[in-house]
This record gives sequence, structure tokens and C-alpha cells, in this order.
Amino acid sequence: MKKYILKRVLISIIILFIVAFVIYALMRCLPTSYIEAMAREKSMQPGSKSFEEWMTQLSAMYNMDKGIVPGYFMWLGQMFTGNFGDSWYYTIPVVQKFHETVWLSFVMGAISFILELIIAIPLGIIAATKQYSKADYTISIVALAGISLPTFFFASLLKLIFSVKLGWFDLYGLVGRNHQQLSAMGKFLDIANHLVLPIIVLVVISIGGLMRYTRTNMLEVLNADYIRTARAKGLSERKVIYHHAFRNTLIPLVTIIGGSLPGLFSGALITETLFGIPGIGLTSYNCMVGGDIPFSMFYLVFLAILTLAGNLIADILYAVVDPRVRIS
Amino acid sequence: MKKILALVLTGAMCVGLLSACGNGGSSDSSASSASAASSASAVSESSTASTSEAESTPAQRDENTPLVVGYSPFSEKFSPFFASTAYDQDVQGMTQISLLTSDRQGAMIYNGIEGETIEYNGTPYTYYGPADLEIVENEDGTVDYNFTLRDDLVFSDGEPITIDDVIFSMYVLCDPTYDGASTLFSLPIEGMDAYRTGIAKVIDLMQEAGPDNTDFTFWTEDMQKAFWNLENVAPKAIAEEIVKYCVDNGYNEEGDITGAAGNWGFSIPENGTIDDFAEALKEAYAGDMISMIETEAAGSTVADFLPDYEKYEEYVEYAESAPNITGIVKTGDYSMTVKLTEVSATAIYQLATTIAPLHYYGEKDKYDYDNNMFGFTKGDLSHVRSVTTQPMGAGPYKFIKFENGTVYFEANELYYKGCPKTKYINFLETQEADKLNGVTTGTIDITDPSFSNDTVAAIEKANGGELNGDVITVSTVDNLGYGYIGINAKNVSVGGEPGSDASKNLRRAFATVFSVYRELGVRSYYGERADVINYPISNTSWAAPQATDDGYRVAFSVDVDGNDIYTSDMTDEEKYDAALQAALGFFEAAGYTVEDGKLTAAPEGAALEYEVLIPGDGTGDHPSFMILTEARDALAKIGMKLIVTDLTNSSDLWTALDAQEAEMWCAAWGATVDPDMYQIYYSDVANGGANPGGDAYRYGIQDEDLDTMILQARKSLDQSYRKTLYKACLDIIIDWADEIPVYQRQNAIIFSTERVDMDTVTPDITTFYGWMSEIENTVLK
Repeated sequence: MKKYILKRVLISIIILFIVAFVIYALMRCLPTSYIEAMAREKSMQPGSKSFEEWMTQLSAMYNMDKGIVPGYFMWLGQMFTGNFGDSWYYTIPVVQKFHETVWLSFVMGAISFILELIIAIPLGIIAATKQYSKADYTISIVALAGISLPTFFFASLLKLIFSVKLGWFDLYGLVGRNHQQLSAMGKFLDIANHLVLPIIVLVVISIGGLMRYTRTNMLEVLNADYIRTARAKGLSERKVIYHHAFRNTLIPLVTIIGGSLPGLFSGALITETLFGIPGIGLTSYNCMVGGDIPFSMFYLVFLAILTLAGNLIADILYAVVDPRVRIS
Repeated sequence: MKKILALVLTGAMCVGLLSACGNGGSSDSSASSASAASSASAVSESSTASTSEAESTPAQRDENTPLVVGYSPFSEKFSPFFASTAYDQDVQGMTQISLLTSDRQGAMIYNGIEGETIEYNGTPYTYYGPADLEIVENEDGTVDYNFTLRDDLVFSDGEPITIDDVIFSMYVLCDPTYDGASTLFSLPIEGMDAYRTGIAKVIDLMQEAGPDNTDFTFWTEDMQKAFWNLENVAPKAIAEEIVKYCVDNGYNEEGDITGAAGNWGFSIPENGTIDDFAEALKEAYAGDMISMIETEAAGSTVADFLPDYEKYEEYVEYAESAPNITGIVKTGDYSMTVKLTEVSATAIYQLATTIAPLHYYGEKDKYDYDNNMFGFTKGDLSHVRSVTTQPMGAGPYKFIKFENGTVYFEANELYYKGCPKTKYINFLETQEADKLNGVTTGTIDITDPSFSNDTVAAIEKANGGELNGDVITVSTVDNLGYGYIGINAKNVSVGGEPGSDASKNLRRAFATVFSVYRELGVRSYYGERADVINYPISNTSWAAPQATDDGYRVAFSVDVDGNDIYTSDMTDEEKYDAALQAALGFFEAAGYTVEDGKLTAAPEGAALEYEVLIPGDGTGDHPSFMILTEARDALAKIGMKLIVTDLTNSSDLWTALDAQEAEMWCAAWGATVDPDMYQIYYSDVANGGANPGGDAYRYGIQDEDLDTMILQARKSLDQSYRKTLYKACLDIIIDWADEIPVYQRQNAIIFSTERVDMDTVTPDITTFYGWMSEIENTVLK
């Protein structure tokens, strides 16, 4: 097992290296870059240097004047010393900005994840045990609706109904207008109040998939021989489902859940943008649109690491949970 | 039963497919992510469709309720010295005061301490400022700006303001390593150059020192060798690169070096070799290889030729630079004088700098005026930069923090115009699509949405039919700038002579056809929110000719003989025909052959086909787009082909302009307060174009009279004299037909009538006197 993990980690490092290079090359190939926009703006001031002069100065300052490969290795070199540079858009160090914003996204992601599990798995089990009944159809329809709804549409719909029409919630933002004047508990509740709609969006969008998956696995397990044996032995239906069937359904579920854990840090770009939540999703969106290379590089490489970590965790968990699977 | 169900479901599916047909995308001109924009228009349309909206819960109206302003996202550069985006500027502007204030028309107030009363729109307004200014024009041509500061001002932390703070602020802006937005250093202040030299880049020093230099204090011998070896290495490499570029892009055949060189602007003999080309490059730049690479390279940069390029870009103090700027003189604890070596009309706008606190942005123990220490080490602005994200000053509000996408401000009780009546103000980061709905739902109170047709419709619905009502009040001001269609004089000319009558007539032909469709195009894109202008200057400027002035003419409304094309009783169709006929007359005068009302042959240097670039995102989303398409169709009738190229990536436009390859294009200028035309129109043709204005190459106007008048106007402080000169300048510019002025649009600020006490908002808001100018009075209901 240890050798397997070690091997996978080493391969991941190589993959990461290549992925980071591809990302860097793509960012360098963007038609307009931040420094070009900056140079253009600065050169339009009366009495200032020409555009070419500004480009040369800024390119040298931001390491954009080298070719893609040397530039990449310079970035890599700096990365190993822990220096990811300053965000061009925000001026402050990339790591600092990241640290400020990622925890909010993580909290949002974690809460919606827990809610998702609590809702989707029991519903999936019910749908499977009462197959082809009204409950099953209702749950399946809800699941499909959830999967089919695009995030931006559903978020806008919620904003329209709950904010514009009913006035129950603020239209967007993480904090209300009176946030600073509230007590500590008041501040906490204020933020919670503003996170209700975004979390609803995140939960509804994702329960569909998990519910369907639970249902499918459950059905597969319920049709297995050992379940028939259990029923034949005379066990109660409750025990059959929850003690025997459910535990075997958990096997693939746990792997999926474990694999999606790192994704909690990645932030929900569209939801955050629409609800004005200054998490890592919105911040990275602003930076990418503005052509801020250091921050975008950091964030995209971070996502790559999360993806690889997620895959690794899923594979390991699979071996841990299912005694029949041995990693060779 | 099952069959019927199946049929119904199939039918529903098909109907669903059909819903995709219909107008593709709403005409939404708000600039946000596509998904947010389309969903937002769905939201605003359906929200305004319903008449009974829920009452937004009014916030607790106690005196601690913050006023919330919706802003586009910030870049956190909240420094009076380094703020670059308009939004960051506004944030730092809330915390700062400037030496001089301005009135509603952009003119500076000279007697701020006592106050000056100036009438605007029939109402007298009194303006106060922290300082008085006296301008003295001396006999020898120099000008003294004598500032006197109030002696009772303090910063928001209680520290008194003295003239040292002003001097400190000026020295930061004049420091050789300053790279922010201000260009105070470019003013003709006495001693400025001597102060700023002495610190220069290694590469510039190396160039001056020459190849035989033996003084390696600031660079190594290897660096010097590499630099001077450029002459041997770079021309050939660049020549090869250029040829490869031309061949790869199909401009020239493989091996056709003379052709490629020709395309790049260099003439070498027939069947030239790479070495010939390299020689030509070398000669043209006479040893300045850096400029050669920067200008001529087709992909590589200077850094490709010089390893460790950043070492060459370092600043070093190589010589005794002047220890101070002799033109900045402290004359008392609360007074100073700035001496300019010549009259400059635009200087005053730059000189009215922010009064930034020395004890916060600089270091007090590094300030000693008599010993040439100004609060920081010359060339090292690190302390100033370190507090970029936390501004502090003497402005109406104190910056508390930027957290959770909100900037928190608290009233500054020590503000010299009185403690602001609203204790807390928040600037909330808002996406464009949410701005209007944010006001109606109560999330924000004031914001600046993009003033598109959809926004106007939504506001009118929210108010129950009018633009200003019980829910939203709108304040519109003219945008500081204007839109135009540009024609490059060099690329659209006859016989290679941009200034000849024939060339001007050629351009006038196009200009006339474009001009007649302006009203149509602008109305359809902006509705009532923009005006057609007839001179290439923003209506916000005092120098803009008004319709009631003498000599005001509608642009391009005369034919080749000088007669008016249009009469007041013409229908639109008749006007378009008249314009087309007039254009035909201009083409003929330019040397085109006209047979049966059509152009059959073009004279030397001209063509029967021209291209116009328009940055319309590929979808024609641009105010001038309709003008171009209508003109194209009209010109096709007389045999002139106009190719309308819609660029999806607007930076392609700038690249084409910079390369001086564009024939015609559409863009807009952002104006400055002063109508000085140097930057855009000054060609220095009398000196062979040695020192033109930075953007003059775009139009390519080269007129000696225009140059002379621009210089004269710059050097005078008499506004009526300058206005006459600028009118004459504008007439020359129209005469050259390089710029067709199209539209002057409006910007809007919207206020929530329900929550903001509109009586306390700044009255008579103008382009130069925004709603924040009297923010100390604004309160919530």
C-alpha cells in the first residue's frame, strides 16, 4: 500500500509539472495581457513614455519578456522558494490574497456538501427500495431537474423570487449594510443569512447526481444473492436494507465522496460571482478576466493539485473500504 | 393511456426545441460575463413586468445606518499616489483633499480660503478649498504659482497640516522611480530635469558611455560586451525574423528578401540578401540597437538578446543629481511657490495635488527642508508603497478596512468643511448586472450602472413610467470624452500626399457619407442618452463650440464647391441621397473617374476599396456600427467598396493603429479637463516631425498652422483667447477630414429615492462636480 501511494505521488508530481507548463503557456498566449492593458493606459497619459517603452519596462518587471520556457522555469524556481509573486490585479502577495478568500469558499463548500449528503443519500435509498413507485418517480424527476438546471439560471431565479419579489434576502453580497454595527453573534448570523441562497443553489445543483448514483448502486446491491439469502433467513426488511445493503452501497459512495473532498477548496465561480461572495471563485474570475498571470497560475496549479489529490484519495479509499480490492 | 402520455411528452420536447428560435440574445450592452448578463436581463425584465413588487424592508433608520454605494470591483490600490482604476481613485479620494478644488465646470478655484461664488445654471454657488493660489506671470516668461494654505487644517488622526505635507506629496510624484498615474514631473518646473537625472537606467548609461568605456562601477564588462555586440548580432537576427514572419504570413515568397524588407519599410536593392537587410536596419537606427529591436522586431524582444535583462533595467545613481527641485520653494509654514520656466495652460490641473500626510506616507524624521530631505530617501518609495492598501488623509471620511468585498468608511469629525452628516459609508463591490436591482431591493442606495437602453427601460418600469420617480432618481452627466470615426491621412490619400487637396477631398467623400448617418446610428444605439456632436471635442469642455456660436457648422455638410448639401425641409432619404451625390463630387475632385454616376478608376495612390475597423465584439455592438453598414451600402451604389471589419478583440484595433496600418477605424477619446490638443494633433511638421504629440501618428495630420496654434494656446492662460484659437484648430481638423466626430454620450448615477434624502445630495451634479463633491451633506431618510 505504501509503495502504491508513493508511486502515485511521484507520478502526480510529473503530471503536475506538465500541467503547470501547459497552463503557463496558455496564459502567456492570451491575446491581451494585464501588462499590455497597463502599458496602454499609462502611455495615454500626457507627457508619458510611449507604449513600446512602457511594454519593455513592464515586461522586464513582470518576467514576461523571456520566452515561454525560460519564463516557466523562472516561475517554477520562484515557486520552490515559496514565492508565488504579487498579484498584479490586487498588488498584495498571491498567497496572502488566496489565504483571505479560500476559507470562505471552503466553508460554503463544506456546508453544502454535508447538506447534500444528508439529503441525497437517504432519498437515493428510498428511491431504490421503493422502485417504480410514485416516490421513486418523484425523486428521480427532482434529481434530473437538479442536474439539468444551469447554475446561473437557478441562481438568478432564486434572486428574483426571494430577493426582488419577496424581499426576504439581500440581492447579493456577503455582509449586510449594518454588519459593522452588529455584535459578534449578529455578524455571524448576518453572514449566515447571506449564505443561505448560495448554499441552496449549490446543494440543489449537486444532489441530483449523488442521488441517482446512490439509487443505482443500491438497486444493484439489492438484486444480489446475499440479500436474497438474508431475506430468506427471515431478517426484518429494515435490517436487510440498513445493515447489509446500505453498507455495500457505501463502497463506491465513499470513494466518490473522498474524491470530491479536495474540490471543496476550489470555490464555485458562477455562484460566487452571481451572489457577490468574495471567495476564491470570484477572486480568481476577476484575476483571469484581468489577465493577472501570477494569481491565475497559482490558482490553476492549485486546482490541478486538488484534482490529482482527489483521484489519489478516491483510489486509496476504494482499497480501504472494499476488502476484495487489493492494490497490486 | 400510455400512448397519449408518450405523445404529449414528445410534443413537449419538440416545443422545447422550437424555443431556441427567436431573436438571438437580447440587445444587452452591459459589460459583464455573458451568463450573468443574459440572466440579469431575464431578471430585470420579469421583475419589472410585475407591478406589485414587495416593499424592500427599510433598514433601521438610526444615525448609524450606513449609506451603501455599489461599485465595480476594486484592485485595492487605494493610494493617492498609485491608484489607477477609477474605482480605486474614488476610494482614496474619499480620504483625501487636494490643494485646490474645482467648480462645476472644471475651472480651478483660486480663493478657496475665503470662498468664491460662481453662478451655474442661474444658481450662485460658493466653493471653498484648503488653499489660495496666486499666479504671477513674470517678464522673463517664467510663471510663479504662489500657494497659501489654511493654517487650521488637520488630518483625520489629528496631526496638523503644514506646507511640508504638500511639498512631500510633490516630491513623491516627481521622484525618478515614481510609476503611478500622475504626470506632475512632465511640467516645465524649474530644476525638475536636474533633479530627475542623476538616476537613470543602467542601459541608458551604457548607451551613453560607449563601447570603449572602462568604468565598470554600475555594470560588468560582460554586460557591456553583450550590449555593444548587439550591433553585430541583432540586425541580422531581426532581419531573418522579419523575413520569416513575412513568408509565414504569406506576404512574401520564400527567399524574397527585398520584398519582405519593403513591406517592413526598408528599401534594399533587387535580389537583396539578409546582410543587405541587416545593413539597412543598422543604418536606419545609427547604433541605437535597443530602439531598433523594440520597433522592428517581429516577435523577439531586447531581453532575447541580452541575458539577465533586468540588470540593464535597474536604476542607479550615477552622478550628482540635483538634491532638490529648485522650482519648488517653501516660503513659510503654510505657503510655497512653484516656479515654471514657461507658461503652461495645463499646469494648474497637475499642480493641485493631493495633500498626503507626511507622517503617514513618509517618515517625519527624514524630512528636513533646509537640508534637502523630503520625507523619504530619493529613489526609494518603498515606505509610500507599503501603505497603499490603507489610505489616510484629511478628506471627509476615514478608511477603516476593506473586507468581505466591502470598503468601510467612517466620518472624519475633523474635516474642514464640517463633520459629515452620515456616520458610516460602505462601498460594496457589485457586478454590473446587479446594480439596478440592488437599488430597488435595498442592498445598495447609490450606484453607477452602465446607462444602456435596458437599464433605462428597467428604471422606468420601477418608477411606474418615468425616469425619475419614487423608487429611483437618475442623475445624468455628459461623459468626459466623445466617440469618433478616424481616418489615417497617410493610408487614405492620393498620390502619397496626405495634405494635398485631392487627398482631403477623398477623405471628405467618406466623411460626408458617414456624417449623414450619424443621427440614425446614435439614436438607435443610445436613444436619448447621447447627442451627435459636430466638432471633435467633448461637450463638457469650455472650448466646445455651441450651436448658438458664430461659425458653428454641422460637420461635413458642404459639397466640394462649398455649398450646403442639406436644406431644412429634406426628408431623411433625400438627405442620404444628397450626401451620396456630394461624395461623388468629392471623389471626382480627388481624381477618380466617374462614369454614369459610378466610380470606375482610382487615381494613383488611392483605391476603390477601403477598410474600416470597428471593435464591436464581433456582433456589431458599437454605436457607430449602423453608420458604417449604412455607409457601406450607400457607397456600394457608386462603386466604392467599404469593408467593415468587426473586431472581436479590441486590442487588435490598437495594434493596427500603432503599426499605422489602419485606414479607418472607430473609437472614443477620454478627455482631460483642459482642451489642450498637443497629445493628439501636434505633428511638429516644421521640424520634420521630430517631436510630435504621443498620439498624433494616428490621424497623421501635418499642418503647420495647426501646430502653431496648438502651441500658442498651450502657453496662454487667457481662456477667451484660447477658446478662439481652439475653434480655429477644430476647423482645420475638420478640414483635413481625418476625424468624424460622432457622439457624446451620458453617464448616469442612480439614487434610491426611498432611502436617500435627495434634498441633501449635491445639487447640479456635473461631469466635473460629482455627487461625492458635497458628500458631507448627504444623508439617508
